[in-house]
Amino acid sequence: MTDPLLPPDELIDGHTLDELSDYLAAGRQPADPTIDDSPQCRAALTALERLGRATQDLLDEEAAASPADDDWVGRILTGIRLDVQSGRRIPIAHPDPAADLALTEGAVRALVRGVGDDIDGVLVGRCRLDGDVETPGAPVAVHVEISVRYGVPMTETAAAVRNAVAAELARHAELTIASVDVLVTDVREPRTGKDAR
Amino acid sequence: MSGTLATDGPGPDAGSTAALSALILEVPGVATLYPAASPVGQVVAAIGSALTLGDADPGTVLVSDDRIRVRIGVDGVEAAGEVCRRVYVVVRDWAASTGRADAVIDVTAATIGG
Amino acid sequence: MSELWEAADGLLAGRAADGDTVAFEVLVRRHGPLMRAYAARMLGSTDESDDIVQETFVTAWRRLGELDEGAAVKSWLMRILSRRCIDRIRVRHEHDDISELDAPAPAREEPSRLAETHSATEALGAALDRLPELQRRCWVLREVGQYSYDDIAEELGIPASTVRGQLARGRKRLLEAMEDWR
Repeated sequence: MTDPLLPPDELIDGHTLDELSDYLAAGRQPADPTIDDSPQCRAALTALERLGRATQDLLDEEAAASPADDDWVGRILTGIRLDVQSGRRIPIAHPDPAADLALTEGAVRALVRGVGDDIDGVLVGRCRLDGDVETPGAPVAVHVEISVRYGVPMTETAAAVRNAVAAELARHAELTIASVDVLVTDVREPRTGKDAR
Repeated sequence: MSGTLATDGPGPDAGSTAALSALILEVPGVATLYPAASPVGQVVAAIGSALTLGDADPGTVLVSDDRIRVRIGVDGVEAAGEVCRRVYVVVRDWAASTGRADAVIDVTAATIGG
Repeated sequence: MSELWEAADGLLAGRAADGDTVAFEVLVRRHGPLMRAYAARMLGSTDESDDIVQETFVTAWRRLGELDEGAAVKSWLMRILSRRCIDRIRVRHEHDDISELDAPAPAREEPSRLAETHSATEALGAALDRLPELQRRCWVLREVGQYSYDDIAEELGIPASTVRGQLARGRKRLLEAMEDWR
């Protein structure tokens, strides 16, 4: 199994560093007393653990030392703007058969994010329009995932989001909304007061 | 490439797609006019005959004899559907004045509000 | 929207998948720096790391719909990045002769730390830079990219036994460097 070019490994109480590394990666399971009971092996395992953490620490430190600059971020955002996800076309009624008017699903999702975010403590996550939105009159179930800030009353807040989303969709889109359900997917730590950026 | 010029419009450029773009932007509730053509050019292929891109802003409005495609952002103050219908009226009038009375008018609102 | 900066990766990924470029920007600022440090180590210099991470984000934006578990967006980004780095390396026609791979790496073009190492982390950084390229790449893929031995083998197009050998050698040198520093 090992590379034939590799010189024979020194043994630590009968075990190669490679074996000890595998043992560590397996969470020291199944337990092997020939390793666990050997002070040299334990020392080696500790050194290996420290080395593993150190690599991640190294990169984290380097990352913290050079945060993303605005130009670089700007280039990325410019690159993605052309690919804005618009999704399906949600028709708007018009008597003229030669009129083809619509909202995009992307526009509607942004709408939902907008009204949801406006409610104190709420951040909207994913939004799903479940149903055939491209066919006028087809029932649509709206699913909204939200994060709430710790301390904000969850049930009342979810209800507020539900009502706001239903109202906003009724205003802008001509969808037959069968239901709006709001799922709280996470709870955020309370704000510290300083600018999070 | 410039659009087909009208023979009886109010001014020499009234029949151009740049003029149409300007008219659309004046409709209450319209915040933005997006490029109607997809970068890949699939939309161009789908439209078919004699495609003309907007003069001042290439690709802002897509015009052929059969179809006029407009992509807007609405400001969110009034119902998005209402704004789309207003834009439709403006485009329909322009189409009639430029000899495209039977064109399909395709208006899509891609953003609502900020 | 200052609240978004506090949002969890999963929430941001969900919004970004739905088209929210602001949420995506938060992800770029949050994970971009680590990805650049990782790319720099994979490629052996910082010349191309900025560009390759940029390309990774643009690809990620298009493919966000494929991400099932939004909370895993960071490791998903690292995977896309790793693949791009490996492709870039392949383009340079390296790894043609595996016996040449034991040669130490050339000095980094832009040393990003002091010549004196003031911490264990810096000692590791210096040692990592001195590793032969294949050893360093295997190490970074394993320890930071969280790739399995088989995945590393598949990505690099080398036998799993070679990966094991490279990791064994790299591990030994790095351990020695860490011990020396102490």
